Amino acid sequence: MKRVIFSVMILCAASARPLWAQQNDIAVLRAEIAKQEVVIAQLLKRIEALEHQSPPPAAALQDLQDDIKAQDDSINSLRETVNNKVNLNGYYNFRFSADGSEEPASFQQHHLGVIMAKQLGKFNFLMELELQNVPHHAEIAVSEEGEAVSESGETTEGDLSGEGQVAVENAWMEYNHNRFLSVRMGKQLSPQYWWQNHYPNLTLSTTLPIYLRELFPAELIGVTVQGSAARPVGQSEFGVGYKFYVANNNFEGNSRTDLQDGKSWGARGQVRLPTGGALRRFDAAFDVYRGHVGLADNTLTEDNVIGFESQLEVSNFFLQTEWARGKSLEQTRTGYYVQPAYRIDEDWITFYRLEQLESPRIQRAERRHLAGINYRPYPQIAFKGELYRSQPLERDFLHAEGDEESKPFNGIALAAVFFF
Amino acid sequence: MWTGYASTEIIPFVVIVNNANPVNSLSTVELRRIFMKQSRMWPHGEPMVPVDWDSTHYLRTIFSKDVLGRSVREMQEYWVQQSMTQGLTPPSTQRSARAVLRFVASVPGAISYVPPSEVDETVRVMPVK
Repeated sequence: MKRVIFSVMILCAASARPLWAQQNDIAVLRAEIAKQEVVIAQLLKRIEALEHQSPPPAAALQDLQDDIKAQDDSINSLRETVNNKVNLNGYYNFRFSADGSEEPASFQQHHLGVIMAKQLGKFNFLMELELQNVPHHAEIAVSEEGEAVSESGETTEGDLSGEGQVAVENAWMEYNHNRFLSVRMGKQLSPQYWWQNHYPNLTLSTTLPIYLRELFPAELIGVTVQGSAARPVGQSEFGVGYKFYVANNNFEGNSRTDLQDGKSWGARGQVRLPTGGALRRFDAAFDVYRGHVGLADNTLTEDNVIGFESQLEVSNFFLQTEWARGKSLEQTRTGYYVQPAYRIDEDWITFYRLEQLESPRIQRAERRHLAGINYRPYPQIAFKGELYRSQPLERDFLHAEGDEESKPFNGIALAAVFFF
Repeated sequence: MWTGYASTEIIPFVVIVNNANPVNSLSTVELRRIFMKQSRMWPHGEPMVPVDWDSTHYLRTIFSKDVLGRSVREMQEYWVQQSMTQGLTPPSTQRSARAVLRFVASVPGAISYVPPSEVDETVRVMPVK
């Protein structure tokens, strides 16, 4: 039934035509196509006439054929412009995961996502539907009563990490006044680097950093004001950017259950440093989030999170780092990852990641070493493989009496990803 | 005129715009922003429509490296990322100078690049500082 609903939603989305706004553009473009088709017909007639001459002047014939090809290209471009009024993309991710933890090894039809986007002057719209059907998903378990329960103990409904769910992961509309000011409203991903780029064909690894779901919320339903400014420095530029958002409080991916007046807010400042020579990218950003988080008994408690991140690219070498610290109920939780990577050639990238999470809230303290390889025969296709070792950390907040001590374990994850 | 080359070197391409475009010149940074779709509108309110060359063409390789600072392959990966996170599509592509000229001549906000010898009166050369 879910698949039927999903298919119907896709068909409706694909066939939806906001004609009120496009008619003029499309009419102009169609008129242009018709005009150019007339030109092609005339050129074909001239070719036919030339071919009846004996012998046909080769140079003139070639010119005419070039003209026809050029007209064809122009028409194709115009058609492309008409058709691309609504852009439809998507991604598919299949993976295998096995490790020494309590989770059994499994093949996972992990993601099937469809992205629909539309630009109209200064307005943008983007919607992403995602089907997840993941047996033994690491972020979700099922309670004895059969309800989906997240690691932090909250009962979830329509959770984006749930089994077999069709979820709207993004649905936002944006107004771009200029580069200094744009407003985005709706359901959107949190602004931190990994959340923004968490898609399987954008990340090098198959698995997410272990700290990710425990610090900043994955998404927000609210309004974001953002902008940037840049100053040229030689052939490069120095840029600064900001984001400020007000959103519903976070209930493990389900902020529609936020029934209180006080909303969460967050802000982000980012800097893009000038580049040159081997230095191809140097970005840094600082994030803050103030909100409430839901507890197992459906009450809310204050939650404050800060974070820092940077992305560096020098020649074929990349370095991504993110760090965050959150505080709620007088308990502090922290997490980070450091991920160096090296592009061996156009198709191959190898990477290593050191990551850590310490969270009294979910009784987890773990360090993980991960090494992997990413093969992209085409920009749209990726094959990934990684090995990791998980090491439990000794912390005071762990080990209630009678608890069994965690043990280190090794794991492997493989994935095949297709962007379409 | 594109100035990334010394005066004694052969200039591989010039940037062209529609004849109706009133903008007098661009910087390299602005040109990069247009072809990465980080800038959307010309100052006179016309949408910017960058037109690229086919990914196998030598001119695309040169332009990508010199102006965008990335290889053609890296730019393809960039557009996969932009499609997923911003819903943006890469510039449309053309396979011949004639097609590029026709496109730029017929679309008011269009901008592209061609070998200097291919420029005709249907388009205007945009100086890039």
